[in-house]
Amino acid sequence: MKIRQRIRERTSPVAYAGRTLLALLALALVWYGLMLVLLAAKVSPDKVDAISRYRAAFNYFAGLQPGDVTSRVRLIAGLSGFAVFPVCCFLAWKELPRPYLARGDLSLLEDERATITVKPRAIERAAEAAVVAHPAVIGAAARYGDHLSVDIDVRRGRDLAETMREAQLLVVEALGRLELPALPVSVTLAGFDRRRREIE
Amino acid sequence: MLLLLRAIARLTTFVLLIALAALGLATAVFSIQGDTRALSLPRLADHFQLPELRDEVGPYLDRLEGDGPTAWISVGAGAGAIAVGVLLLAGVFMPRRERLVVLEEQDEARLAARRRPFAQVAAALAEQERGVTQTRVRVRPARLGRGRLRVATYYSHGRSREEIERRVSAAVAPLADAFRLRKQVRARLGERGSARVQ
Repeated sequence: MKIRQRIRERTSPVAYAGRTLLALLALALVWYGLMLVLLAAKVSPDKVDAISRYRAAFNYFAGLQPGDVTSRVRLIAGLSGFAVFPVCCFLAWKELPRPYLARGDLSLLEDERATITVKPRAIERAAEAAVVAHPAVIGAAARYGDHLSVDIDVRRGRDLAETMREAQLLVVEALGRLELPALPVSVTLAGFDRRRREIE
Repeated sequence: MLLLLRAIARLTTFVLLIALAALGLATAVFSIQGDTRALSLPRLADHFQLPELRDEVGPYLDRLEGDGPTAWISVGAGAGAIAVGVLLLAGVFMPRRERLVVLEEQDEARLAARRRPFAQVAAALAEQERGVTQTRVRVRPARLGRGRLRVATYYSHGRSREEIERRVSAAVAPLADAFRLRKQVRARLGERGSARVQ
């Protein structure tokens, strides 16, 4: 049995900022992991420090004293921390997944007296029936979600591009005949039956 | 596997952002007072046990930098950090869906082909040429610009390599041109015991 329902997720463009942060962390892990391997393998510490500044960074932070925290440093640290808090909270909020069911009824009419809906499977069957009418297509599986996508299996390799354009046109015409709203139709070549292909 | 990596990357990003937000808030709060008073940055460092961490990391680095045999545990830790970093990068950057060979794209409507059936179609077209005994096709969809269609074909004795390459190239040309793929055709003389005889 083919599972047609899909769970999709809306991703905010802002979420990429959080992923950039993670990518930087990952790069730092890779880089300093490599430095650790070099040090453990007894490569010269001066050379490793020259390319990574690990010692310089450690010595700087290890040498900090309470007296180094001046009023100016406190002001900068306080304001930076105050700014980082809402920004990171916002980015974390945007990271939360917002899944939704991609496949649902198509509503044709909805008022106080009646509703007319079309079940997604009906739309998919209409598309599949239209596509398999093409002589080069031996199978089709449609999925109605944000748009209508049809996976096709073909038996003929020649004129593949034309076959796919004609398959798309057949689906569009079938939707028109059924007086369904025009939908974006995607066609994907998903299979080629070498055994059943025609002698060309 | 990729799904798991993506989930781990998402979770790590969320935890990282929450940790950064908490750290930012703590830094802001602990900047209120100076010296070593209750709400000062040195006191925050004490709460995070940073002086103890410094006292442990310093001698560890000294030992690591000193002469002696390879510190295998540290090699393992470093290799582990590299592996975690690479896996996180894969979780962030690996594409979620299979890349398709695109014929046309207009808004949400797209005509495209999966790589395997597309390669099978190209192989079928190539194998219809007389003298071709076997074909291997690799398809690389475009990230930017044009993708690539590589055809490695084997031919029977009594044929010339140039002729086979020219004919196979002509056979797959309509497909490659329609899908805007650069084609590369290589012909080799088939060996004995090949599955197909012409």
